[in-house]
Amino acid sequence: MHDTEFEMVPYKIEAREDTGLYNAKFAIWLFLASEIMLFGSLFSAYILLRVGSLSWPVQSEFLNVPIGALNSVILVTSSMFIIRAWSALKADDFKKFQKYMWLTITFAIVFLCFKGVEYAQHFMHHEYPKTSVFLALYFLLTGLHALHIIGGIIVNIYYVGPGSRLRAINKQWFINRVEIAGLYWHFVDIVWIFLFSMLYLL
Amino acid sequence: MTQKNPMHSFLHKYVFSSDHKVIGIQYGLTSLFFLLFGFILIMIMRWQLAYPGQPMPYAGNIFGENNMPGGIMLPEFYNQLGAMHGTIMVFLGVVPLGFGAFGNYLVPLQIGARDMAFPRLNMLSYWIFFVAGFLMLLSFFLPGGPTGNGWTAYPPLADFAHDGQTIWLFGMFLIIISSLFSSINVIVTIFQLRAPGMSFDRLPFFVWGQLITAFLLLLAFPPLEGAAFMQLMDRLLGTSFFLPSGLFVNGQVANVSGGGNALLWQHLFWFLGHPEVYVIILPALGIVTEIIANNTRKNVSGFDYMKYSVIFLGFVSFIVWSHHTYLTGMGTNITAFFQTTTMIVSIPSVIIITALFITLWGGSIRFNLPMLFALAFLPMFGFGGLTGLPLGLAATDIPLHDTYYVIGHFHYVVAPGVIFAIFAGIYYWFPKMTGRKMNDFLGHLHFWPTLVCMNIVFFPMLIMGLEGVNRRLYDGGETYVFMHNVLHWNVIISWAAWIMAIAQIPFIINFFGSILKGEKVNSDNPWQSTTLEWATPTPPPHGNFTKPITVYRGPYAYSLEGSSKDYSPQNEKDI
Amino acid sequence: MEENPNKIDFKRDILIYLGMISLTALIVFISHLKLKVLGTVLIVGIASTEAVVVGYYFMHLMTKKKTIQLVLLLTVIVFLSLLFWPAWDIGYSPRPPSEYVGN
Repeated sequence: MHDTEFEMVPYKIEAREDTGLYNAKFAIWLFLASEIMLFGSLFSAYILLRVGSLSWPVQSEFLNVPIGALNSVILVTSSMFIIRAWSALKADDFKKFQKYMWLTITFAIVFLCFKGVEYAQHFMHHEYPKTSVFLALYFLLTGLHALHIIGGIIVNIYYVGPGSRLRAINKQWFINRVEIAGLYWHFVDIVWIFLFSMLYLL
Repeated sequence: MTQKNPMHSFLHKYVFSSDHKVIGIQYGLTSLFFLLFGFILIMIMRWQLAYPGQPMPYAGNIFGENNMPGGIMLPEFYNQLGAMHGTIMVFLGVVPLGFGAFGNYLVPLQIGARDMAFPRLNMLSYWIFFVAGFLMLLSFFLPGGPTGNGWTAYPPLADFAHDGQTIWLFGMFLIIISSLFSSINVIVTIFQLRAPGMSFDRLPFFVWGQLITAFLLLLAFPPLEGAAFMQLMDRLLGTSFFLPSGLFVNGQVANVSGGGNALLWQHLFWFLGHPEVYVIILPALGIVTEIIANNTRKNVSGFDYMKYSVIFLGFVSFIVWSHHTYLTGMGTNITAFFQTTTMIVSIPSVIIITALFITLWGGSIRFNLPMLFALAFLPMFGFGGLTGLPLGLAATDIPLHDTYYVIGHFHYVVAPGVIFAIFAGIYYWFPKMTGRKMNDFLGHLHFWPTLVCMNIVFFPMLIMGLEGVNRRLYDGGETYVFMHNVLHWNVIISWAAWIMAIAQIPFIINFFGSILKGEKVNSDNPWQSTTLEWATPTPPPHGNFTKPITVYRGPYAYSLEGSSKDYSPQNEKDI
Repeated sequence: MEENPNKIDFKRDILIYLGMISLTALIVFISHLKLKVLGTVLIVGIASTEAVVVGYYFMHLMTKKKTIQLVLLLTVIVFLSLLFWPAWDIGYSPRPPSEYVGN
């Protein structure tokens, strides 16, 4: 990291008084706002297509509600763990941070495994995106969500792994970055809550 | 230390630079190229419109037998040129110029910051944009050619079209990602990196425009991204997001699941599409305000109203999009809603333009080249905006929708409107960026013919539209007998367009020639301006300011009582 | 202020976690009842509550400045109204051609 680049931009670590935010936190909230608009437009498409359709399959007959509910619990739990990881960092306990971060990542991978099982079941029954609009929406929404989970996993692995040497440069800066990763992770959790309700339960 | 710092290699300083000024210039040069490219596309189309079915002289054979057999343009090729003209001009031309080029270069300077909040993200944004542009150009070399479904890419046609459409979707996806990163960068920069004393009400209007533009880009582009995913799935995975049941394609029932809705695309597209036009306009309004304030030597009248208007505009622009879908069979309630909001959204723009007009009253107007373009912008943009009003009301939109009237309307606001503002900005900030002035004589050779030709090109389109000539007709309307009494305008428009193309040559010579041999400016602040970008060495170095900046007053402190000069820079304590 | 506004209370966290699990169980139960409109309202309502809980406590929105909370609330309201316009519009626009079978 080039030193003078680091000093070029203020408020990388400490918050600016009038906004109460440091730069990256502001940035991630803006990014999440755009993601809300992205998933929101897809939800809106779902509503339009479903309300405008003549007939709509009974969703719980196509989708595995118990696995979906289990996945919800898994994701909320991983959300809890990433908060624990962040508090451990703030308490300067690096080992605890690593433990909880790995738990977060593990639970996320378990989520993806269950999702993979569901997808495999669909494909075995010849249920593809092109089979019906409902399935197309299901695969698009859950697929996009799964891509976001994968992205989150990659970021989390980076911070618990090679990225953690950033902590040696500036401890608070590293804590901030983990906070940002956590915020993103909670958002992914929230999207799943709505996805599960809309696709599996309604 | 004799070891060379890797950060100072040519590649790092001028190609993969994270300095907002270098990135701004990169955006500027790339999008000026795309602007020219899109312009050339329409020059070619104008031959077919003026002389439909006739072989194009000299250049007719370079497009190949697939596109122009014997030099005569095929309808498919016309559509492809048209779709790419729109896409390139909007997404690779004017928006990257207004937001990516001017925004990147000036926002940190005008707020007193040393760079953007995320310099390396900025660099990434530019290169993603570059790849997107490259993809769009690459589509010309595909076997089937580029997309021919309009820049609006409506299904069902776009779902079944050839591969050029898929490339378009990937290109759009990359453009959206690039734009997303840029908008986050701009918003965080403006909120967090303002110099001490630079409160929000001391920000120049240009920065206000960029801030609202960034919010529009941030929140309006994602629905198009979602729609692009859906169209990609329709094309690549056989889904039917946009394909209703029972659709016949080429005489056969389409082998899709059906159950989709073609209107879904339209709504998602225009949900972006309308805020997009404000994304096009707001940087231009910002540029023009800076230049008018500077060249009237007075504060902008109604500056507070302008700020409230631009914020209000940002909000309301999100709830007007369906005035683009009046003719899709919408219910009367929802039509009434969108007519009301559309009428309301015209108010802030009127306030802003009026404020700028009033600013001219009692000013000591300096008629330099930037000011000429800025002055021309005002009536051209105002007129263009007024022509939009019949389009915003459903009853009058019925005969005008998808006619040349619409083309005349939006080109008036974008061409002698926004593009003039961009030219104004180039002439104005060129001395700061290069340390040299652009040549005035060549500037006049550029300005006057362009202004006259713009009107000859676009005003008759309004007439043609009122007579019922539809858009996107490859022969300009020859097939339809009822259009024949206005088709002579096509010839006049084409010749005016070609003359306008010649009038851009002085600009291109001036631009590149002045970089090399232009008259050097002898001051860091040749226009005697008050805003912070002039409080830097010329051109500004890495880090922008040589000493810490404190802001003491508003952005347009011209002709203050008790001052020895007619301008009081923001960062100087004494007036 | 020495007291870190972001200090996480362990006991509170567990309570919120159990609350989220119960809400998830409740939402699955309601879906089994197959109530039409009421079911939809309840399910969407409970999902929204869960989302607000995550936002407020996990993302510590409660420590953010009031302006940001207000802006977010405004965004959510606008977003929800835009989400439901298609449903409203469908009620007033003509039916798709496939419905006019036999004409």
